[in-house]
Amino acid sequence: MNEERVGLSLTQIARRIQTQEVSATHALEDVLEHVAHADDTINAFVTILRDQALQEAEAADHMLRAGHLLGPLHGVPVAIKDILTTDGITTTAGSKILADWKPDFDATVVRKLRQAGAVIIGKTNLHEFAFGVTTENPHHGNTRNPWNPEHVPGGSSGGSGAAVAMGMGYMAIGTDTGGSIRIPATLCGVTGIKPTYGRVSRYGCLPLSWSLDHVGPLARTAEDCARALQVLAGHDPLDPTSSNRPVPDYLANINEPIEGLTIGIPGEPFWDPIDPEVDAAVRAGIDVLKSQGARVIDVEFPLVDELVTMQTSILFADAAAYHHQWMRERPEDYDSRVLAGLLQGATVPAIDYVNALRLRSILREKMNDVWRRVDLLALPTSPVTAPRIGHAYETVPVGSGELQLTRALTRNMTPFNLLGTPAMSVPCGFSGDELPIGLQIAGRPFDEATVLRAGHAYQKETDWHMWRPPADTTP
Amino acid sequence: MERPVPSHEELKTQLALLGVSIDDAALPGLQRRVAFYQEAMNRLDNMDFGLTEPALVYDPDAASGGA
Repeated sequence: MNEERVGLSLTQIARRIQTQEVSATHALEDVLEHVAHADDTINAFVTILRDQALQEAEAADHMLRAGHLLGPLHGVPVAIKDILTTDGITTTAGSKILADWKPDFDATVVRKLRQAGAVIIGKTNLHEFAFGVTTENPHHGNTRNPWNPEHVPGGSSGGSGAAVAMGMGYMAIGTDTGGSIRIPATLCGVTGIKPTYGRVSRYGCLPLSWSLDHVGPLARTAEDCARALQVLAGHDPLDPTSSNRPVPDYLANINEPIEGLTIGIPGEPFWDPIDPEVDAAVRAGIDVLKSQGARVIDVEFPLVDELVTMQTSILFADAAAYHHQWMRERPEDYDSRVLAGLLQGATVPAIDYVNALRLRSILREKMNDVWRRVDLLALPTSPVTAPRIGHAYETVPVGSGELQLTRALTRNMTPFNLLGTPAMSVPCGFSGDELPIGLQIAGRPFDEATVLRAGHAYQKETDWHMWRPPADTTP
Repeated sequence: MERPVPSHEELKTQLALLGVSIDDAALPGLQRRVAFYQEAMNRLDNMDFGLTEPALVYDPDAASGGA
């Protein structure tokens, strides 16, 4: 195994494969060897597609030797969150109920990745049915944080976050309904973007909340995410909720300086309570953006006190509606906490659901006042670092107050799912006990390009995104 | 009038109307969750939406304020 290669970014490995400096087969073998060595501990994967992936890699090499390039991800090993369908391959949604389900179609994002030449190495573990933020999973095992295996990787896309952090894939697809791309990104020290609602097709994605679900990539860098999003984005006739808006070239201006951009810093409750080490690291990150010429101002986020309640009403009710039949017929086959959430969703009155949607419209209107003043928002992705496995539901002292940890992980996520606007987490430092910290950058609807540009500018000045977990040095 | 916290029996009945059953052991946890939610909703119940607030839309471009 080439240890150096598994730590490369998607952009770097894609270039090396395209120039045939390294074969797709060798790139894949490095990753598979790493998976074989590390995944017994980390448990990022539910299904590993070794033989199929090797065939795909060999085919990719054959095409390259013949002068044929499938696309920008030609031969690049990637992973798929096991909530997205893969033709003929088990798609469990992290559950017992779907443990043996083999769909006969690829999700659109899977099809697009294959068309772009990506090699799919496996299906990553997740919190059951994406309804949780720790990826503690009684059916498929807990996924562990590569930085400290006694800690959670976050969720629900915990397997995807852990896989990328450990070099078990150069990009992994996640989904985000209340933070489930950004939480694993920040807790695992990688980059992850939740795009605008409707920007990426959800065809073939098992829903948690139709109103709030988003599909997006996790990778080492913002540039990697831009390359992945370029492949994934666009209208899909199979998904009526996907946007018709044209997809810009996310890489065209990614190297442009951010001088002149205005970045808004929303105030409480996004910063209090907060772990002082997280506060310091995120503020230092914002200072980097300032040093590059961005103007930073304080802004007030509208309807701040109502956000969590709106999210709960919509998300929990949507989830209960989707799971209604299984709740009636197979309640014993759920993780007890997931079932508790679904039962709560079943008690949300229709009036509350409707009023939450009305409020959501008002929130969007009020946010226009904010977007008139700023180009981006910057805030902590999470006010805490990764909780310990088995302890994520506790209430603990944090900074000047106390926080129930799973609620803490979602606190700074909620607005951008409700608004449907793009939000990305980039690594911005580590705590004293060597757990990653993330800076969240959010932007206007369909302005992923500016979000990615700011993330890339930050990553040109820093190297947190290239750090690798200590366990990642095994041969 | 503030929203009450439903009793265990009321929660069981509410779920039974949907054809969903719940173990008695799970009732205290559900009641706690619903109590937390009811307290939050008491605040939202006093919200003034205004007489002409925007209608609900279901539109993939709604995030941008419309196509």
